[in-house]
Amino acid sequence: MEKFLSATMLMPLLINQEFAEQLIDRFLKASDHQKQKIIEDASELNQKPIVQEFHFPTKATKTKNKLRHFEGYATATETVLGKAGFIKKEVEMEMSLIEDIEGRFEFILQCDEDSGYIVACKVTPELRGKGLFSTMVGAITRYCFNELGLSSVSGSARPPRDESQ
Amino acid sequence: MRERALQDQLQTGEEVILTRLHQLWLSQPYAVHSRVLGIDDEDGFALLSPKHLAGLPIDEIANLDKYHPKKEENSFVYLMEQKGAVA
Repeated sequence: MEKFLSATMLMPLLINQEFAEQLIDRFLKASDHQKQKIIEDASELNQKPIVQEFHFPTKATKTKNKLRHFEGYATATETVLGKAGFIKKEVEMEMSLIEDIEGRFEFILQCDEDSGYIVACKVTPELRGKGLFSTMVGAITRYCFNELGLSSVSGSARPPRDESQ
Repeated sequence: MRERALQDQLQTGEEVILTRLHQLWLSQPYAVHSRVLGIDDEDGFALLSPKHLAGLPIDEIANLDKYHPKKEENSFVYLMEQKGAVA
């Protein structure tokens, strides 16, 4: 049975979008295949940018409390809605790579004034299964709350897209 | 693989299905499900600053434990008692 694609499915995805009306016009005139693609693209509008590549210096910016800090950035793509349609826009986001000086774990954080986001984190593969996950979380909380004074740090427990990276 | 965690009913009353990795994060000190903060990310979590929690009434802190069953030493009430933030 064919899926019925209605503009009412699209509208919640276009809240606060300047060019929503133009997109809805195009949607109404589109084929089912195009409608499906429009809904897929629109669902990416309110998502966080997708990181493509990390850029960190080879030399640590500082070492403090047994953690080595590397201040850098990530290039990422985000979907935005322009007058002519969807655009994949490249953005740069400041990030910090924090490494345990004993090499047991590392994490990458993106922070603003009050909160942080754990972009990635991992226990060194050879040391997994030794109870170091809690040690890593403790290091994240101490760094975020005691050193940076953040009120929260969030993350996603989704499995990594590519473990080799 | 997702597992049904019967105790993990968040404030909406909806049953929440958690992966093992998500359960591992939520078992950590100061960790809550994203939905507690009104963020609709089924795999999301957040670690809350003890300073931030110290401003919450005891009932709310106890509620966090109700929705996030953890080992006693990682429970919100225990951690806040250790910090002298709960009467």
